Amino acid sequence: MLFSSISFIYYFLPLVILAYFIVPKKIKNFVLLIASLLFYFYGEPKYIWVMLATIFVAYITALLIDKYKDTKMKKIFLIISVTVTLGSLCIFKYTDFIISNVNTLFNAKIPLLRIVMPIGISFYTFQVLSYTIDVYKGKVKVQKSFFKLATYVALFPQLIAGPIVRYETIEKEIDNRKHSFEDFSYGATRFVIGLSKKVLLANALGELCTTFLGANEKSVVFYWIYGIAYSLQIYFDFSAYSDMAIGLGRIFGFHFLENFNYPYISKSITEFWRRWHISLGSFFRDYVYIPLGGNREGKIKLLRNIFIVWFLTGLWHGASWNFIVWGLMFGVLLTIEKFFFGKILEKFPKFIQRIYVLFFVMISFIIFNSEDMGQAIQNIAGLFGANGEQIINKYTLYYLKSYLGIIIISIIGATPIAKIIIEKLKEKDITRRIINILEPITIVVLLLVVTSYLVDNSYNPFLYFRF
Amino acid sequence: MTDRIKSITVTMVFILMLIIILLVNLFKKDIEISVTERRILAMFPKFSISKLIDGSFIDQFENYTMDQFINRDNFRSLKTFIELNIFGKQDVKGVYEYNGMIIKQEYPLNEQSVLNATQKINKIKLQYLNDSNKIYYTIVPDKNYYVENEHLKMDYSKMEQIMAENLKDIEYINIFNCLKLEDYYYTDTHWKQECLKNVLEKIATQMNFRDRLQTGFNLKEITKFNGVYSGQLQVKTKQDTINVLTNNITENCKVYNYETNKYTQIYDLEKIDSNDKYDIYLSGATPLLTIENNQANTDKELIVFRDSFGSSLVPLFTEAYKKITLIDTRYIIPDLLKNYVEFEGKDVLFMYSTLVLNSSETLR
Repeated sequence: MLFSSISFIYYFLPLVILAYFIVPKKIKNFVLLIASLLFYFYGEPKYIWVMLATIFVAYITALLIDKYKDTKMKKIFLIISVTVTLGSLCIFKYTDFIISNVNTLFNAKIPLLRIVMPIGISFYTFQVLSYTIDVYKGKVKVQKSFFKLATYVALFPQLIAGPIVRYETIEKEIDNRKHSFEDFSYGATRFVIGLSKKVLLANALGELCTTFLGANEKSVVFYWIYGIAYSLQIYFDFSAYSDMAIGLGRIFGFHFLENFNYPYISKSITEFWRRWHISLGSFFRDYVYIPLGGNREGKIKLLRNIFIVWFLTGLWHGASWNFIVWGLMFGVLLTIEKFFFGKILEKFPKFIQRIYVLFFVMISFIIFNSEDMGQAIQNIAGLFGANGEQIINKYTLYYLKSYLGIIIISIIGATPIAKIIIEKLKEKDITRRIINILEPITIVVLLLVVTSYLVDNSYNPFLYFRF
Repeated sequence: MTDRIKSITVTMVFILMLIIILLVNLFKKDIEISVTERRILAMFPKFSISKLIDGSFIDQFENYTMDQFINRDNFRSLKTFIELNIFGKQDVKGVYEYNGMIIKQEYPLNEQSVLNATQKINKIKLQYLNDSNKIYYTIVPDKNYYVENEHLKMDYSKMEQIMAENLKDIEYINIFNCLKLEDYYYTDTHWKQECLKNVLEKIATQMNFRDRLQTGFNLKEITKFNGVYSGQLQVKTKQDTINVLTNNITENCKVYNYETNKYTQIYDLEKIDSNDKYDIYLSGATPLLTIENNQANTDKELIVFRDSFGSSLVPLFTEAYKKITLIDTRYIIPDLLKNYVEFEGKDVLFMYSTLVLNSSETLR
């Protein structure tokens, strides 16, 4: 089920909110678990058992890790847990990728298995991994209730496209959480803002990108428009989902960590990855990079660790070489920054630093959104006129004019300008009161506008659903 | 408003809005047909375990929730307003408003499609036609051709060029200069019959039947009309009117429909209540029709391969022919025509709109 759908907003969500707040505290988790399973079943009826089996394996192995925490057996149970959960992810996500590469390398003709990847498997697998590893490390207490663990993993706000909520974040809230008007109103506002970002901006930018990809009359300027539009689309698409997830979590009393922090104002790639998909970056940092030794064991091992992390980051995003190249590209950029360029970069004016980040991020997303490396190279070459197209043509001008409003609003929306202005205005009591009056009105208006788009069955995919 | 009151207000507004809309949607009566979109709306799907497991129930339910949403048409109007006026988009799904007219931006030219259309015409020519036939073709321009602004247009000259290069033995009747934007409906794809005087003159002169058109026409208003684009772009425009041009001949012609095996009139007033009122002209989309003119002073017969634009134009030819056969190869395989149509010695006109030529996969 999509958050940005009539069925979710006007059927599922009000019924779940009603049920959740009517029932006694003791069975609120049960309501959330049932709602989450229905939510998942609605979108993935055939593979709900994969998620339940993954949770069950994590539950049993974590109990065994805890039971044998003072013996060497705990490591064996951790290995079993990691092998089974990662094995499941590999089978569903990477089997055909491995087969096609074996076929290419050895000129073999092994038929592809065409295994369907269950929705959200990349996200819930990482959540389950973080739980069992943290139990192993003694960072969190083992969860003795299967239902509570299942509620955490399957929690519908973050189940399908993140953020990757670690068990430690909501360990206490799963047992005991408070509900307040402040939390509910923050959650509702955040949900509606995320919904608007997705439906009004990301989808419109997606239409523009689709138009570009299907166009016969490209021009150099159109390649740049595409690069900028796709960079904005993926940001608004994914950060919108995180906004909605964080908002929905807050409605039900959970405080998820932020997943995006205005990444396009970054002044280095290093900073960009501290602001973009924070939950994924910190997962790889804490569960791969640091256990491998991080930066403490010399430059050679540091390089190795960086490239392992970025190879895996790319691979996590999809079973295709363009994702791996995308990840490794960031590995190269971060290495260069770490070893020498970072200090040189600091001496440049801030706007140059930002242009540097935006340029390479745009290039990376062109690779990311390509069907293969051939298309990626063609679309990057097009930015510099290397495909022999005109600088600009009537077709480009038309679409530039048609989407200029959306692009300008999106660029402003990708910066914290609006947030800073509102916070500044809230410092004065009178303007704070006015903003407080405007907030509920804005929510109603935005919800109605979003609804107008949703009833018209507009273009509405979530980019991160495929991961 | 204090922060605390704001939090309570936002919470209550959000919950109430969701619950009220849920209840209204649950209890309101479902609508079967959308008049503005001219289509059947999705109804609540039949449930079965197999449909639930294979996902089809959920897909159908999703369509149901969108189609049956309360005040759907107003929401769609709101979306159009925001797209065009707030975000400044030039079109909505390729449809735009220009001087009170709703226009589809047909773009780009699909050269392969035009070539494909010529191959289909040539196949019919090879199969059925010979030196005894006088063969002509014409291209009906879509509205976008006549718009003078920055909107994208297909390369009409290239289309004419492809047609000319591939239909070498067929005489072209160019009607592009016989029309202007106002000759089309505000809200529909089609041209208005009462504005086809110049087109009729051009075709009749070039096909040598102008002399046989002696009787004038009377204009008769039939009904108000919302065309196909009115549902695609929810903006307020002038309402269209269906008028028909009649005379003694058109009123006495008999139209035989091979699909229904029934005789009707040229202007089928039973279609006045249909979703598409343009169907009044020769009963709308149908594979094979004949118009029999028993008052004709000639034995000449005409065969027209046509799309829907022909439905309003061909009635104006009736006085010049004893019998006119209209064939729409979107709905009949040309191989079947040998069972119904005698081609020997007859005039033949292929008339297709730029819209059909640019999407000729619909032609059989």
